[in-house]
Amino acid sequence: MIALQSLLTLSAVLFVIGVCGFITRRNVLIMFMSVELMLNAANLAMLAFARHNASMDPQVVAMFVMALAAAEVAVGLAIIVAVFRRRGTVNIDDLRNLKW
Amino acid sequence: MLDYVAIFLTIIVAALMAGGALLLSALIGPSPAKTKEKERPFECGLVPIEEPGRRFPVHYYVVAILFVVFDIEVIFLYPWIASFDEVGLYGFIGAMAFLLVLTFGLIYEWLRGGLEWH
Amino acid sequence: MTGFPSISWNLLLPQIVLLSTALFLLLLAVIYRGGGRSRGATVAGAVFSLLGLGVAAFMALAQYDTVADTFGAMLRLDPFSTFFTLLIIGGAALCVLLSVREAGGLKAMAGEYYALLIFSVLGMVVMVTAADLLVIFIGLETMSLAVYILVGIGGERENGAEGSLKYFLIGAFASAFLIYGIALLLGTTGTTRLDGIASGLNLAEGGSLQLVAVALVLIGFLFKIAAVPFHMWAPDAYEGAPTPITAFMAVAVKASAFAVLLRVLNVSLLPLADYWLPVMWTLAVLTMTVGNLAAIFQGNIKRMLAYSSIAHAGYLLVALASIDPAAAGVGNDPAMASVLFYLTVYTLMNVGAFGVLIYLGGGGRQMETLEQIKGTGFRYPLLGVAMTVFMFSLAGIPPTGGFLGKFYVFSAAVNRGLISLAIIGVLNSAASAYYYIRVTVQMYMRQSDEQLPGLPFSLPLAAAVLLALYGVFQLGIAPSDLLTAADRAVLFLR
Repeated sequence: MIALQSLLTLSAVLFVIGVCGFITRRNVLIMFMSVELMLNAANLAMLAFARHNASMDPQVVAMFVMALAAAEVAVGLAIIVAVFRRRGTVNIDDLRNLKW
Repeated sequence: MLDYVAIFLTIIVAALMAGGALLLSALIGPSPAKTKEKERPFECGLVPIEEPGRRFPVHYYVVAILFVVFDIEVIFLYPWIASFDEVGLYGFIGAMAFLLVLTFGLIYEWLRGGLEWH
Repeated sequence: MTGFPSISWNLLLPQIVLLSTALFLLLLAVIYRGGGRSRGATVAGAVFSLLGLGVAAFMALAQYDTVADTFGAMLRLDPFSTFFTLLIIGGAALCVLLSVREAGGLKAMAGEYYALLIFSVLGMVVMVTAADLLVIFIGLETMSLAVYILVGIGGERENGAEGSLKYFLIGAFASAFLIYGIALLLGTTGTTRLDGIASGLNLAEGGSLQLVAVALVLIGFLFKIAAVPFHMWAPDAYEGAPTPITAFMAVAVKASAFAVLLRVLNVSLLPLADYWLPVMWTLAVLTMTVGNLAAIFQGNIKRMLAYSSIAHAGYLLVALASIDPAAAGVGNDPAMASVLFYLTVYTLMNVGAFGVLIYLGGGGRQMETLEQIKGTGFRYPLLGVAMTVFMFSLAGIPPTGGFLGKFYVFSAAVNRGLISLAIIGVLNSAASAYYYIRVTVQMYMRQSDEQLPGLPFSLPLAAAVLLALYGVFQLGIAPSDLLTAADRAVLFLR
C-alpha cells in the first residue's frame, strides 16, 4: 500500500514540472504538453484521494477532467495548426506581432 | 518500504554503470578530432537523403483531432454500462441526451466535410 | 433499479433553450454553407441567436423569484444566478447586434460564429448557476473553449490566430491551476459542493494543504478576470479578436467570472475571509494601477480598452476587498451589491464604446488607433457624442452610470474603513480620465489627414449603441431599480 503522502508528493512534483515546462519552454506544443502534465498531476492527486478516502467522487471528477482535457486538446491543436499555417512557426518568441 | 529497496539499488547501480562508462571513456579514451564528417548524423554509412522531421499533410492532424474528441467522450459511456442496472431509465435518458448532443457534432462534421479524405 | 430522481427540468429551461439554439445554429451553418449563401447565413444566424437569447432571457425572467436546488444540488437557482443569467444574456445579445457586419465579413465561418457565441453563453449560464466546483469548471471550459476559437475565427485578420493561441495557452494553464486546486479541495474536504467545502474547511488539521488548494482555485479564477499579475493574456487576446468578440470578452466573460468568484468567496471560503480579504486588497491596488498606467501608453484603442478593462477589474476587486464577513446571513452587504451594479453599467458602456468603434470602421477604413480616429467627431456627430458619453462614463464622470458604479464601490470600501484603498481607487480613476478623454480630444480637436468616407447606416449597430447610451444615462440618473435588484440578489449568496 503506497501512502497518500507519496502519491500526493508525486503529483505535486509532476505539477511543478508542468509549471516549469510551461514557463521555460518556447515551443508552443511543448508548452501545451506541460499543461497536459499539470492536468494529469491533478488527476493523479484525485485518484490518490479516491483510494485514501475510499470514495468514488474523485474518480468521477477525474473522468470529467480527462474529457475536458480532450476537448482542450482538440481546440488547442486546431489553433496551433492555424497559427503554423499562417506564420510558419510555433515558437512563442517569434509570435510577437502583439505586444505591449 | 523494504520492497522498494531492491528497485532503488537497481536504479543506483544502473546510474553508476552508465555514468561510469561515459566518464571513463571521456577520461581515458583518445579524443578524436572534431571534423565535419564526425558531426554528421550516422545513417548506416550513407549520406542522409532528407531531413528526418518531414512535414506531412495537415489533414492527418484534423482526423487525429476528431478522433481524440470522439474517442475520449466514450469515457462517459463505460460507467453507464457498468452500472446499467442501477441507474435504470434515468441513466438511459441521460446517456441518450449526451449521445444526442454528440450526434449533432458528428452531423456537423460530416456535412462540413471533415470526414472527406480529399 | 432505482427510481427516477425528481428533476425540475423547468428550472433548467434557459440552459436547454441555449443548448438547442447553439446546436440548431451549428446545423444551420452547414446547411447554408452547402447552398453557398453566406449572406443568408449571417442574417439567419443573427436572427436565430437573438431569438434564442430572447427566449432564454424570458425563461430566466419567469423564474426570477425561484430559489431551488436541482440536479442533485449541482445547480442552484436563486435571484443571484438569475441576475447574472440575465446580465450575460443581455450583454451577449448586444454583442450579437455588434457582430452583424463582422460576421458578414467572415463568409464561410459566419454560421459557426454565432453557434460558438451561443455555446459560450451556455457555458457562462451554467457557471453562474452552478453550486458545485466541478460544474463551475465544466461551464468555465465550455465558455473558454468557444471564446478561444472566436478570438481567432476567420483567417483574414492579421493577428487573430496569434491572439487566440496566447489566450488559449494562458487559459489552459489557468484551468490546470483551477483543477489542481479542486482536486486538493475535494481530497481534503471530501466534496466539491460549494457549501460543503465551507463546512469541510478545517485549518487545524491538514490546513496548509487546504490553503494551497484555495490559493490554486483563486489563481484559476483571477486569470479569467485578468487581475494583475495574471493579466498578460488580456491585451493580446483583446487586440487580436474581432472587435465584437473583444466586447463580448470584456463584458460577458468578465461578468460570469466575477459572479463565480463572488459565489465561491461567499459560499465556500467565508471561513477563510481573514486570508483572502488582504489578498483582494493587494490585487485591487495592483490591478487598478497597472491597468491604468499601461492604458495611458496605448495608441491602439482596442488595446487601450483592454487595459482599461483590467483597471475596471481592479475597481471590482476593491469591492471584493470590502466584503463584510460579519454580514453573512444577517443583512445585505453594499460591497457585493456594488459589484452587480458595476458589472451592469460596465457591460453597457463597454458595448457602447466598442459599438462606436465598429461603426466608425464601416467606411472601409480601419479605425483602431488614436491616429485613425482624428477628426471623426465633427464628421460623424452622433457617433462622436455617443463615444464621448461612453468615455466619460468609463472615466466615472457624472451624470453617467459609470460614476455611480464607482461611487458605490468606493463608498463600500469607506464603509468598511478601507480609506486608503478608496483613496488609491479615486486617484486611479482620476488618472484614467486622461486616456479616456484623450479619445474625445482626438475625435474633436484634431484634423484628419485625409478625407473621411461616409459611413453606411447599420440598424443593428445603431440599435446597440443607442440601447447602451440609454442604459448608461438611465443608470446614472435613476439607479434605484437596479440597486434594489442587486441588493436582493446578493441576499441569497450565503
